[in-house]
Amino acid sequence: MGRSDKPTELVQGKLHMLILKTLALEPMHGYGIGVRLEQLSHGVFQVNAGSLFPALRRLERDGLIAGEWRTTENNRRAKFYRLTPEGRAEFKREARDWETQTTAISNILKASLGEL
Amino acid sequence: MRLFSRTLDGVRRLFQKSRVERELNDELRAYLEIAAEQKTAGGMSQSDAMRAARVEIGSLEAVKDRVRDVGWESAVESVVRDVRFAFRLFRKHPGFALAVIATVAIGVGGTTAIFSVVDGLFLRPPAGVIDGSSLRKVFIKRNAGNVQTPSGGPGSWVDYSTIRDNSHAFAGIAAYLSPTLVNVGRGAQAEQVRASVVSHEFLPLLGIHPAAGRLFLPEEDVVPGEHPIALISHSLWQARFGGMGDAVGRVLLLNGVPTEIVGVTQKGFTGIDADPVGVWLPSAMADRLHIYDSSGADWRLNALMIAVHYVARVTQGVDDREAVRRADASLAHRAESEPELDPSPEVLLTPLVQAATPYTNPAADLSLWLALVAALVLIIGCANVANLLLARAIGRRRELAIRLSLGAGRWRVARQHLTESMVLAVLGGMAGIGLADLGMKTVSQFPLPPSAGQIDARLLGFAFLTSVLTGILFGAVPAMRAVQVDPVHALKESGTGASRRNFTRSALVVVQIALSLALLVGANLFVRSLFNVHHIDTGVDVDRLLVAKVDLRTAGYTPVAREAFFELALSRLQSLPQVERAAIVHFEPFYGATYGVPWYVAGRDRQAREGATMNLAGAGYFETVGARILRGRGISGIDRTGNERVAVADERLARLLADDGNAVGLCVAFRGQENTGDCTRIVGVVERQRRWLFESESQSLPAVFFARSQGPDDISFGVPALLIRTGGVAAQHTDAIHAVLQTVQADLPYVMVTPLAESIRSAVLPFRIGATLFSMFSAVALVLACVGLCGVLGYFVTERTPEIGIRRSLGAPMGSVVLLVVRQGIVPVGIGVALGCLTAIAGTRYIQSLLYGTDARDVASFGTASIVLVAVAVLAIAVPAYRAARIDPLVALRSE
Repeated sequence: MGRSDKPTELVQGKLHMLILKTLALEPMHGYGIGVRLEQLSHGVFQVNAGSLFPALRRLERDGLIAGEWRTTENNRRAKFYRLTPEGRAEFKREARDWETQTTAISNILKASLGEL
Repeated sequence: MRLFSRTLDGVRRLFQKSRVERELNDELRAYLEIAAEQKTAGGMSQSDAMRAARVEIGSLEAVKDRVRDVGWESAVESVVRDVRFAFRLFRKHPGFALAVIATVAIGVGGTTAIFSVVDGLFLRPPAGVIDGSSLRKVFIKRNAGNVQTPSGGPGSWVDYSTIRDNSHAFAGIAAYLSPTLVNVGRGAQAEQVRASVVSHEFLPLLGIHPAAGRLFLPEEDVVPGEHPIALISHSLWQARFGGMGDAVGRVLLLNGVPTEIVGVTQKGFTGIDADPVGVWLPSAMADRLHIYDSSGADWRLNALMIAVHYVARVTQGVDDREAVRRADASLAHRAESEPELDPSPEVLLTPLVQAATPYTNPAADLSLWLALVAALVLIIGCANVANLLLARAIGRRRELAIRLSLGAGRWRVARQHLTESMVLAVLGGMAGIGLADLGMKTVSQFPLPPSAGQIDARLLGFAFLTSVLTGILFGAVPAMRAVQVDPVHALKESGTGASRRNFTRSALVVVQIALSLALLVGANLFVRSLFNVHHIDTGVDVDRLLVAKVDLRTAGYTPVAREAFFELALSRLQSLPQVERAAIVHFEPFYGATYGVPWYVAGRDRQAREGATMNLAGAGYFETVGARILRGRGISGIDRTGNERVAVADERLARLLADDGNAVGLCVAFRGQENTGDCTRIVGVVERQRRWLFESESQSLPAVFFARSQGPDDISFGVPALLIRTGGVAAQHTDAIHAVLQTVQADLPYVMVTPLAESIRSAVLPFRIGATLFSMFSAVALVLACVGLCGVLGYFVTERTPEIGIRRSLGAPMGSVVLLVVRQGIVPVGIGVALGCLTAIAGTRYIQSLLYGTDARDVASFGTASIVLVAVAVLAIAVPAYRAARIDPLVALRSE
């Protein structure tokens, strides 16, 4: 337990959704997923191995992603994860929920007395 | 289905463990390599990149652990692994494991055995009843009027019908009289069975079904004496009729009245009170069967006949308070027509369990105390085991430190420790169940009803729960300690103990010693009480006497036939070789009831207030029971009708009759004689005879014994008793004497023969139980505490061995080394004794009511307990001190 976990805690509940999103773009290995998340969030989210791998385990266990061993462009063997059809459906559902929630939340935050 | 996929995944992972592990390793290695690769691409050297990647990922083991923890299978797996690891450790240290298991077994066994009693008294509804939690005992409190039951007690039959008909307090209410013994059959087949008079709703209300025949019908319980019918219990059915179906419809002679058996109650049901009931009778039959004689009038209409008990089933949705309010209202309404009774009686509800009565119940009190004592022993045992574990934890600090520095989670390590404790606790619990069985056999010799007497699911559950709690209790502190290990320090340290650990262990020893001392004091008090009880001067030779009683009145004997039987029986008894003497008396010793009689002697004030209690004694009665005649003579064969009326006074009456106590020769007018000018000659003075065992000097009343043959019917109630003095211990002749008496005449009702000792057994019993069990438990506690002390000092010596070696080689005398150990031991013993005395002072005042002739703060008891404890503690200190003294400086130094 330490400071290094802090940034990921911000997305703790949503880490699964973000991984699904990453994999919806293209199949990817563990390290790649971490790097991609950091890139896409412009460095806000740093996901370390201690959070990433348990999350992958959970998604795999629930049948939302599937892993297979492939070689990288640099000729290394790595486990690549891809979305399963269930995973794609789950992602769509979660993304939609998230959209609804954030719109609602930002509406509340933007609210002024005049609108009432 | 996600659940399905998870389950399947878990199972697969459990069974393909090595493959799964390999894959995880591969995946993490790939992660590291790719990370390093990226960093080299960024311009780092290969080795720097790898190191940076490793730092980033942190402890690989920790990551793996977190991944493994994802599924449910990991929990199963780690428990299995921990359990297996625990067993491996136990195999390596079997002595340790056995010590722990034995300690837990004693604690759990004792607690479970006592729990079986507490369960039966306080928690378990009577066997056979349906939905016992919605049943209540109903008591009525009357604080004013002619008949008072200030703390709650029975009521009248009218109260029952009022609540039943005029309030909607309960879904149902039934009434019953306390079970009494009735004579069943005549002659050789005669026996006595407990019979309960009940209202017709009683059995259906409890949910009891007939095993054969039927239950009572409402119309059979209306007109007094109209339907001589009975239900018998399943066990009586088996015993008397071999369980044959044709028992229903047969006629049973009950107290001389032919009664038809209409049904058999379901198997296992023996009533709702402690003593098993064999026969149920409708309330309309109580009078005819001489169970409640109301001389013609229907006792059920008499509001002053306060002897009826009730059981009720609550209505759903009506809480107890509301039910009481409704019942109170209906009773208050009726009370307006009863000026001699409390105008506002209050209803009291208790759960339908044995211990729930408004009266004090020494057996219930005692069983709670014993439960507390058993729990204390369990706690002392826990402290011991915790100590052992703490001591062992020192030896395992390096192992722990290594595991922690390799990234093992602290929770994981703690869990491993707790698992070990649990495994030990559960093993101990299993052994404890065996001990509990043994303990319950011991306990069941005491009639602390209604201990099931055997291990059932309830007790197993209790024992298991206790074991697990025990495991947590003694495992928690060592587990917490283990987790607090600082790996860096622990690895550097050479292994000598820190004083803080010693403090915890000494504190545990202090607690043990304090609790043991408190228990020892309790044991001492009970043993003293028992001693006092055994040395009560009862005035009769309790152990050599048998009491024979037979109810001839209800069997229809005329007074002449009755006296003829007594004469025949006495002459038969006196011809038996095992009988020394036999005599008749109206109230046998410790009968309890009194029959007052006023007396008058010329020249002295009539002691109207005191009067005297009278009894009727036959020829040779005092010689038979072994009562000392202080002056004059006892009752003899010459004191017959026609001769002068004679009596024997006890010492107390004699002092009232004559200042010097010499009343022999006085002629005293007793009831009725003062007007006719007659009087009764006092021919002797006998020592005080107790009416009950614990009758104190101040409770005793002056007593007079008239010659029974001069007026056998002068006392209108009760059944005369034959007292039989045997050569040795009376109890062993019970059956033989019964066989003789039962056949003295043909068709006799049951002749009850019991040792007189039996009648005081129940009075002595609480003291016996208290003394026996308190002594047993406190002995165990003492041994446990001293083993704990010995263990702590042993570790102290081990830890200090190098230091002692140095001291000795620098010339310290052997005595100073011994003193070092003794000082280490004396401090916790001293504090423990002091705390124990305080605990005992605080605790024993609550057992004062359970003691006899012993003050709860009896200095001698405290002293004896302390001396015993210190003596045993000295032994516990001596062993390690001796070991320390024998340390060879050379060997000690070399080992460092």
